[in-house]
Amino acid sequence: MNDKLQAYFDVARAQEPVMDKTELENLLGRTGVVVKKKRWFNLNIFITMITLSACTLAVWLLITNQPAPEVILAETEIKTGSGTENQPDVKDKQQQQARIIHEPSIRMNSNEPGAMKIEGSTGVLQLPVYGNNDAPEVEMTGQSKAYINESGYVVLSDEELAGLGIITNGNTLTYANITDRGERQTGNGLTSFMYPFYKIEIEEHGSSRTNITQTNEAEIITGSKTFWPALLTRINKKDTSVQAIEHNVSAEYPKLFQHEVASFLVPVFVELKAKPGPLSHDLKLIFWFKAEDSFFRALPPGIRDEIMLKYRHININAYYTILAHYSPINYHASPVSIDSLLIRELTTHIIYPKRAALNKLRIKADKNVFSYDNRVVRHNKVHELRIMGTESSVIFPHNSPDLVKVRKWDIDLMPVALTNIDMSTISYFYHYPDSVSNLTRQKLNEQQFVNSCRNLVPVKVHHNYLFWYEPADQLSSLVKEWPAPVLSPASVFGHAELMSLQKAYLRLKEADFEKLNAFTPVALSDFNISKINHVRNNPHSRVKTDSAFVKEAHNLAGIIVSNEDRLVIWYELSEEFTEAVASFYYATKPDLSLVKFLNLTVEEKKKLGITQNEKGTNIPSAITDRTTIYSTYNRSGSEHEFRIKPAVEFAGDKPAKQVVLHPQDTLSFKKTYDMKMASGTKYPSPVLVTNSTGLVWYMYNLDNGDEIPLNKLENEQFMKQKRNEDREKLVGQLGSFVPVKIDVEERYKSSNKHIGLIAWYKPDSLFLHALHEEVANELKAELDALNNNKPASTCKYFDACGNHAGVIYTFNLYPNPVGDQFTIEVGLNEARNLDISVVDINGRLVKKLAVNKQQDKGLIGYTYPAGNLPEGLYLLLITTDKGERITQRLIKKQP
Amino acid sequence: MEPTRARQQYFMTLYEPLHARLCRFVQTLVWDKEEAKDIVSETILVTYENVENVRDNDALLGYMFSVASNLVNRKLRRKKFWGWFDPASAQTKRDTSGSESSLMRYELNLALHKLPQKQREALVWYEVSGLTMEQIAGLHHMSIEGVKSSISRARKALAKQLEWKEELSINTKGVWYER
Repeated sequence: MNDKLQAYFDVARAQEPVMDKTELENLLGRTGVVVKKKRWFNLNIFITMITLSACTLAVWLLITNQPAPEVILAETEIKTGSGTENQPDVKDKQQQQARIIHEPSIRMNSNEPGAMKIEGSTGVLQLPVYGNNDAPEVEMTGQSKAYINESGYVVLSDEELAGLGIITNGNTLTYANITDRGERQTGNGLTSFMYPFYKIEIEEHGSSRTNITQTNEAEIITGSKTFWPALLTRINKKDTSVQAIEHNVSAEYPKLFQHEVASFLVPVFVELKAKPGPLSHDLKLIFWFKAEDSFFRALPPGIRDEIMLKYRHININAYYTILAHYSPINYHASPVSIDSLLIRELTTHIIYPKRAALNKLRIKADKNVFSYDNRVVRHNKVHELRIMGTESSVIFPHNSPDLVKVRKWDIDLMPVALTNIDMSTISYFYHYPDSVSNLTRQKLNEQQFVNSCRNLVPVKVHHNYLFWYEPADQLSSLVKEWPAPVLSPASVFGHAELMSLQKAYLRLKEADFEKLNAFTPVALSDFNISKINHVRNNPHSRVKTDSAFVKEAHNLAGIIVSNEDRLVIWYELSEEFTEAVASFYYATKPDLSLVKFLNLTVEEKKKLGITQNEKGTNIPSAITDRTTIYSTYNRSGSEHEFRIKPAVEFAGDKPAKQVVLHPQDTLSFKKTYDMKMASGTKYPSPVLVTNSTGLVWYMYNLDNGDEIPLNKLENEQFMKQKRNEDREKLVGQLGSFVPVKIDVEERYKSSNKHIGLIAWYKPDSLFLHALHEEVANELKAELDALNNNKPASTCKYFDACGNHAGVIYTFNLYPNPVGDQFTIEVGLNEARNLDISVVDINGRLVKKLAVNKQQDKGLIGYTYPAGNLPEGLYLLLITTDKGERITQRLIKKQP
Repeated sequence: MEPTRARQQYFMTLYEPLHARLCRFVQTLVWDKEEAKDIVSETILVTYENVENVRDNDALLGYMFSVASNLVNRKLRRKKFWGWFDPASAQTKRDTSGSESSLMRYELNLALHKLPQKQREALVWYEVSGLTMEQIAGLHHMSIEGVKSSISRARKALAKQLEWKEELSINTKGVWYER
């Protein structure tokens, strides 16, 4: 514990001083000559002022023969604060005298609302108590001190400023009011208006920087006005910062805003004298008021007409237009793909866990900041996810050494995405198993998020941020507020499944819709399958409950009824249905003869090391003689664990030397080092693992039998190159892989977690050895035929036994894996009409590329686009009018 | 030599050995660089004005640290962030992503703010600024034993704040630290 603390202190001790020596000297140099303490209160000035006011009083008494009001005393005392440095100029002096003479006409009845109470001896100005609705008219007869200076700013006396709500005595300032119409975007994408309380307090200031405190806290509003300043600026030499009072939810207004709206606003100038000091300077503030009637009424009459003349033509709406243009909500518009209706729907699901519950989710949330860390192993890599969020930004610190020490990580606690509360920015960092790239924060895929966001649970972690989780059961036990039953039927679909279902939706032609009348649909859902209406009076329907629907969804035909509503009608995919309605879209029947899956016996499974437990299906695969990957697959993805045999075996009970590999790129050996493996068996490795629809989940490196030297394992570049080489070799041999079907065992069938898999093995000796002898022999024979380009006696396991059939003497497809497009080369001995189509591995037609295409004798190449083809493993099927058939496996990868 | 210059030099000789320690104290507790700089310069100026009253080195240290401590505490007590928007300082505020050490400093800063004022100060003075127990005792008007115990309490509390990451996997109750 102390070591760690010490490390923190070491860092703190190591920091560079914030000021260097030259800065220090400059600072002292700037203080000028001998620093003489200047006094705030100067007796001489006080006496002169008293005498002066006494004289004026006397003169005034002589003229009016009335007792003097107390207000004069107060005024004089306040003015003493100005100090000698800030002598009022001649004009000021005259005005001051004039004002004092006319001041008795201020109404002094303190019971009256709107009266200004000025206490005599203490010189304290009290907050004026005005009504909430109407600003009183400052009744003042005669000449006012107010004037418009050469810069166009309105200069008012302290009392007149108080009429505007700005309480100042020349040294300090308080302004408190609610502001006009602060806009705020609410979670549903709509804008709501609020009236935040705005208050600034400036204390006596003197040093290089003035403390201005501002608060938005709601208070009992006693002195509020019905007019508002929009901006507050200050004019100093260095600092010309702008404070936008309007919308004070965000202070980030560009300077340009000020220039644009300045002509619509009335600038009121307030100067605050500084406390005398070496670096002190006066604070010159400008309150920019909106030209509204209530504001004009609050102005002293002398200057009111002048200002009204100047500003009354202004259309306040023009100001609001500009304001809306600069409003922060325009900066972060929501992604186009998320409409406000969807956002509104999503926000109703937001859960607001208490702090303790957040802690359980590994989120440490404070008032303004939150942090999160976790790690996940995905696709050979250890990914660390560390997030620190503050009020205004989210940081993803990377490669933190602390994180390596986090011993336990929890994949269920991994959020899928991080968004703003209004979903204006999306960080989608946890890609699902179907995704090629994984866990890349930079490569966020907005559309993917939009597609799946209904299946995710939004959790508010900060008043500005949401985490989105997959609705895992584990979380419901951690967080009380977690939606106990799943959010929607679709939420039990994995992301990958949902995507593949969505891609399989049929879009019928107008004419075909009539054919639907003959069939009763089984269910009705929206595009994202977040809500399902079951057609309960259909006696043939097997999917009367949500769970049944989830299980059967792949055997149903979803037909999109309207694109705008994104409504999907589901039909039982019976033979009659496909024949009547979807014959063009589906093969009359899924052609199961195209790919023959190998079903394993228990014995064979054991030899291949394939097991199933609560977590999912485990498939081991050896990457080298010493290293085995144990992979667990389930609906929510795959997890891989690496075990390595000791590199050096010692005699006796001395432990074997531990092999420590660098975990940065691929493997985390250290943890899973397993002694038992020393004498263990070697399992054959599947080359690909796909789900039952052919979506490639995992692609292994080919074991070429060549052992990678241990010292090379650490060499990142070497491994990378080797992997790429292996991949290339792999795809070249795609046609010869044996698909092994791994169904969910009976005892796990009720579990939502498990999913059927297809493991594609390379038929090497290790694999053949694991199979039953008969099967192995058959396979061997076919393999031989395939390799030697001869027609085989049986064609049981490999698709069409090679790349020739009948008149088709050659058939090539490249590139494979397919990106945007692919080319096929077909060589014919005789002229034929060809059907070319893409079929999924279950024999279901995906796409017809050519129908009855005439081709002469010879070799011809066609190029087809494949951009729309979903990722996965497919078959390219060519049939001739004479019944010859040839297939080739192709892998579609996202470009 | 003119009197101002002499005065400055006198002040500098007294102050210079303290500078780094003072800066570290302020920087550890105030995250924003600009604000820290403000506080340091204000402390220097206040001391410079009164340098005649402070005659020896130890007294200067006490004076400066108490001034700085007052300023820092005043800053921390103002919970509301004042309102001028300054793009440059906003940049520095967000710049926590940098190196690991700055992240650590940020964490330390956050954790320190959770401690009571006297403990926080005593700990930072002792560990970061390198003040002696006696000096801290003088500054806080308490006995050396008192200082010792408050430093050790602060250490424990701080460790608790900072250790939550480590104890994630051990603590099953879901309570990482007390507030």
